[in-house]
Amino acid sequence: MLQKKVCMIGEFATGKTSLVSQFVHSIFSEKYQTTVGVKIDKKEIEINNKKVNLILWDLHGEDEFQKLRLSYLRGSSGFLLVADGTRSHTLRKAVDLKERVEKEVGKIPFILMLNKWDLQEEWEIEESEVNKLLANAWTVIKSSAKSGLGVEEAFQTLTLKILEE
Amino acid sequence: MYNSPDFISVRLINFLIEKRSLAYLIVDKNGYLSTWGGKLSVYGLKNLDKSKLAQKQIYFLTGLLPLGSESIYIPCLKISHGICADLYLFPSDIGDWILLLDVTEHYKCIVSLQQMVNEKALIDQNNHNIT
Repeated sequence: MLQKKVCMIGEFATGKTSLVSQFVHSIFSEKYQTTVGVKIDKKEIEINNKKVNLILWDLHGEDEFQKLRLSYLRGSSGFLLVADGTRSHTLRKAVDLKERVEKEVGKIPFILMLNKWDLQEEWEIEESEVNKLLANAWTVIKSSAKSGLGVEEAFQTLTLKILEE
Repeated sequence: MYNSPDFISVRLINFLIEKRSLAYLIVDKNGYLSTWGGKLSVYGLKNLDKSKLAQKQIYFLTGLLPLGSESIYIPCLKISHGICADLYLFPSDIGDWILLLDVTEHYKCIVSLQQMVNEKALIDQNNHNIT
């Protein structure tokens, strides 16, 4: 069976850990729990009759004290870039992180997740910003770790992109 | 090369074994485990098999091996049962060495501080948006 390493990347409190928890365990917790270092998880999925074991590296969110450690990225086949739709600056951070990741590991498949879609009334990210990214051939998926919206789709789509490489 | 008195070296090694659950593995250049030792069960690593690829048995190694000429340090890797390990990977002629040290206690101290810092940052961002 194929085994692929996938990293979760984004600013702190964008919901990376909750997305993994929803995807792997179908569990969501309202309580915010920060990640220090990296949490490893795995899940087997099937794409086009091919079984793939995803090894998920849930990296700590970047902030003033914890900067992205490039050694965590080694050997990644793809990554999920996560922004919090209710905090517009997390999208700019995601764009910046994407550039830094590509400097380290080269161009590998990725997907941008605009998370917390269950909080639509607090949404800050403008459609025009998203459209610019779409115009640059980014794949963008709105998600909610709480409801599960877009979660399976994001991991499946990323895996498909990885397999097409 | 720095030479410490034997007394210090022995104390240090005993400390690492007892307090940091020192464990090691060697993975050959074909990706198979060639030897292992130390307190591997602390990290949930049991029933290792030389005839199976290392990354199929120790899934966090996926993508990390084989090493080139450089060593790698991966801090604070939360692998199983709440255990947090620092991972050191070194290349050698006989294969790639993987060293695990338990840093769970250190992790617990940092995580509570980081939690406070992040919660405060979220409150500040929220207040900034309101004003």
